[in-house]
Amino acid sequence: MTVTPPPAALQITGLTKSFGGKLAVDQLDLSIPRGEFHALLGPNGAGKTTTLRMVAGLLKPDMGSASILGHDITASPMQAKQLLAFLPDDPLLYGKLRPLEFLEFVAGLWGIEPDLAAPRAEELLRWLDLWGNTHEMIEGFSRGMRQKLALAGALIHDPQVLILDEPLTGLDAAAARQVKDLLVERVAQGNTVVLTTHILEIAERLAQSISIIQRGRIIAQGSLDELRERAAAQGGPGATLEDVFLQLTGHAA
Amino acid sequence: MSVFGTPRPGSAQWLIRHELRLTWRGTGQKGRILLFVTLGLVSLAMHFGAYVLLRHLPEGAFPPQALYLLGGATWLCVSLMLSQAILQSVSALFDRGDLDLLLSSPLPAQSVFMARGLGIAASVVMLYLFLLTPLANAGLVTGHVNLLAIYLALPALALAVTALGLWLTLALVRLLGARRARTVAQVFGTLMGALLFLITQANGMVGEAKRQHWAGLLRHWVQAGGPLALDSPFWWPGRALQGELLPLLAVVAIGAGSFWGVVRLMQRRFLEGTQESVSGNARRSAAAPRAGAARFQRGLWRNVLIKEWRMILRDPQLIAQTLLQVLYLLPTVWLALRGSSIGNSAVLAPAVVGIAATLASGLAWITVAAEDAPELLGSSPNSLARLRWLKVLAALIPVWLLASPVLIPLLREGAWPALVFIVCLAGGTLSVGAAQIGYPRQGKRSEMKKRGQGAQAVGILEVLIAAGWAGSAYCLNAALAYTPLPLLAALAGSGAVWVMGRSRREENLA
Repeated sequence: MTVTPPPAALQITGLTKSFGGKLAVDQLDLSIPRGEFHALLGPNGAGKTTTLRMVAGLLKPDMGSASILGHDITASPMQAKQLLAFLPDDPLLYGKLRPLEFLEFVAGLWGIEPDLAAPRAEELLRWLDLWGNTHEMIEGFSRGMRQKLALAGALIHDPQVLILDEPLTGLDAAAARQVKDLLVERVAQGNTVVLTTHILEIAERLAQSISIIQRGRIIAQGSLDELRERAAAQGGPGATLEDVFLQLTGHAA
Repeated sequence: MSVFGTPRPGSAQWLIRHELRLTWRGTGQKGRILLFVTLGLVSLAMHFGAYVLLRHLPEGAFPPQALYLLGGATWLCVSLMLSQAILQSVSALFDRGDLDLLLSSPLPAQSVFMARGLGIAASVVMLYLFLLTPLANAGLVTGHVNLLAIYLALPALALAVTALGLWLTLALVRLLGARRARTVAQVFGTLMGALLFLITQANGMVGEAKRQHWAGLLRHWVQAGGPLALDSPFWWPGRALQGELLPLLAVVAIGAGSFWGVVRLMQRRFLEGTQESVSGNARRSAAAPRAGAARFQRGLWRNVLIKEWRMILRDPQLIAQTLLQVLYLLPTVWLALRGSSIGNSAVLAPAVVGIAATLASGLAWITVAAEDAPELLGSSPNSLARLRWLKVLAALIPVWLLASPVLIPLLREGAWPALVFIVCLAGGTLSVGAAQIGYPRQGKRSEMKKRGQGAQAVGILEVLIAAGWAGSAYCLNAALAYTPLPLLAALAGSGAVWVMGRSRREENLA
């Protein structure tokens, strides 16, 4: 009897997107198994955000496909999106809503039962130190508070795959620590986290696997040790992720 | 001031120059040359008109009738200036994001407040200077040199009005808190301009008997010893504009004095108001809710509708603009009803269908095109088309509720007029709502007034759709045989929007 392997948390095959003739993502392939913390790294304009937006169903790929736990985002968007949360790099929230009203709306979008969503919203807001701000309009929130609230919105439906574009931007040290702990906890519970970041130290410390994307293509993929080995083979031993990254993207000194 | 005439950085003049530059740039970049050429030509024509007008008036002081006219016009201008000053104060306090920068600099807060006030006064006075200075300039040639006082009196009036606008706005902040004050000031300022419009329409709206009564009252008041007699201070602003020394001195003193007083006395409130507007007044007082306080509602429909209504109700600019639209159309409806000899249904139904469709178009644009978080909706497990229709529904339900009282007089006339009204109201509002889905656009709530930019053809088609359904309501009640004409125009408009938006819809993932 053959056992079918479980579908990958995120399976990208030949994903391609161009804007006005300029190729942003070029035949990109990527497979991330369930329960993994994956970091997608790349220089500015490498195609990270475009890739994630296609995966989240916000952009239509010119070619190729992306699947979330076996559900193709183009063919079965509802099933795929039900399992997914996407947090853009600069999440736009509703300035004229209060935090609980916002989370109630997001829970409604994902069809979460109020009896489940309400206590979960409270738990998340308390955990992210926003419970004391529930009477305020979001328009009065700082960048960091907005980022945390957006994260609460992404987690309210308990997604199995969490895709985060630069989630730590604008957060203070304590808040960044909270978010990092939360992401690690999600992975420990068997969920999958995919994030892009410019802070290589975060990828180095948290990610189990790393992809480096440049000019719309994956140029390196593997665990940190594997990438180090590759960099050592090309350069020297004892390289940090920064050395590896700069070497692979052609920016090494 | 430096030797080259540039104010010293950080000085009050330097700040004022900064404010004036922002006011100037606020006139818009696109088509500025064309605008100024047009304004120049209009101004030239106005100079000629002023010359012709003044040539027929005796040199020196005006006759009493002209003074009444000028005095009345001055008060009208002052009221409109006040409306504008309140709106500008709201914007200066809440919308311009540069106060943190200015107040965190080592500049005295009083200078910042004064410069901001002068910026408001400058933007308030600009239009009226444009309208009245042709009189002052033409007066030089026709022997009415006294009219040069316009150059002094008008800015003084603007200063007084700005002082009042700032004081009112800051008083509202103190009374109601920043958020509510913003709503009230915005609605009040906007409606004030509209109320003046309604007053100008009052002559046509009231009956002959009432008109006679008011005219008699007015004649009594303007007689010697009456509250509006020619020597009453009520006419001083008008007399100041025509250069009478005492009124001019009084207006200048009141303008400069009130502005200086407000800048001196309200400075602290300005700082507090600014801080409150940044931090939100709820933060001061509200404690964290008790555990288990979160109560959520079930269902996508309910959630989307409630969210959209909350957003509409909490948007003072939107409320003000919506009310303004209704107010501006009221006199037309009123006049049409008074002059109608063919019953309510023939006039009321199409008028309300037209108004409702216009309102629905604006609200649907807000709920659909000006969505704040499109990525959140796009990444949710719902069809975008379904979400958009729900958002259109959220825009249409308040319009239907606003329009529904019209059914009462229509039902008195019979079932047919009521049925026609319901069908045309639904048709008109749903069609303009569908236009938002058929031709998807992306905008910001603050850009509602400019929503037609970049999609003028769709804007025109939306007007055609609204007019088509209003026309259908008229024809179905009064000229049945002609019904296909407006109805086909409305349907063709909807079809055209749908065809034009095909590629845009395809860009959006369903």
